Amino acid sequence: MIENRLFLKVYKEHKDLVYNLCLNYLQNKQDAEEVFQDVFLSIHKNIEKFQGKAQVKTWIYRIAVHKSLDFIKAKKTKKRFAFFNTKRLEDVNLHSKIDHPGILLENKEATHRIFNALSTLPHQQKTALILKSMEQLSQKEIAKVMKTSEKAVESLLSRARKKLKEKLNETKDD
Amino acid sequence: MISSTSSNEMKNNIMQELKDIKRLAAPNYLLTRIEGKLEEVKPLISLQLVAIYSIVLLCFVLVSTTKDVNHGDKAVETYAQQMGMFGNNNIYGNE
Repeated sequence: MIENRLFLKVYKEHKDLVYNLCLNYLQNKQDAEEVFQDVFLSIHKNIEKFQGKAQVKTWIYRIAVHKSLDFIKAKKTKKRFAFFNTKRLEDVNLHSKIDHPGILLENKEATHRIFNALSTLPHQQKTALILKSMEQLSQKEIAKVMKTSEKAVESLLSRARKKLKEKLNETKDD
Repeated sequence: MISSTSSNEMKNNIMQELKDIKRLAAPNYLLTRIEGKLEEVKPLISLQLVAIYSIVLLCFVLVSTTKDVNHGDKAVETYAQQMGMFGNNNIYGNE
């Protein structure tokens, strides 16, 4: 039983936000649940040190984005080393499948194509696009989460949309 | 013009598809899992308690060492006196 009241309050208020961001970022329920736990363990560890330096929401978004990125990087490293062990390689591939419970059945094919294209974007562009189009954050909020300027966010979004469109056209031609 | 319109349409479609993804509530079992993880990480004895015990042990060791040294000095002194190794005026004093 968790006794930290402040943590429980933060958990109740932000659990859905973190869960959806992890799902949108990792596109897999199992991976998202793993990262969700890591995010809240990190929040539990650092909640006393936080002291309202930024908005709680911004701080939590930042942790969730970092943890998701770390997870993706760790998975890529695992894949490289799994080359020596075929059994582990199967496990890694299994987790990479798109399994997003929020995708409507009629949109499944189109959304999967978009997700596949989204995965090929550089991390900064992917983060900006997810925060804008899926989390509905303003450019100002995105800039705070990513610790950058609004101009930089605008540029990231424009490049991300362009690249995403190109990728989708490529897959369409295939 | 047509190509730019279709390009914009495509962008809008992509954004719409992403917006249409349903937002879900986090399952309740995730809090139970976090509680479990926190129990695993929690140290059996708090660090403060370990620090207090360490200080007490250190003090005890220091005190006992000092005592031993003093006691050792006294013992050697007594032994030396018994052996007559310190100057005793009485030994030849009467002669």
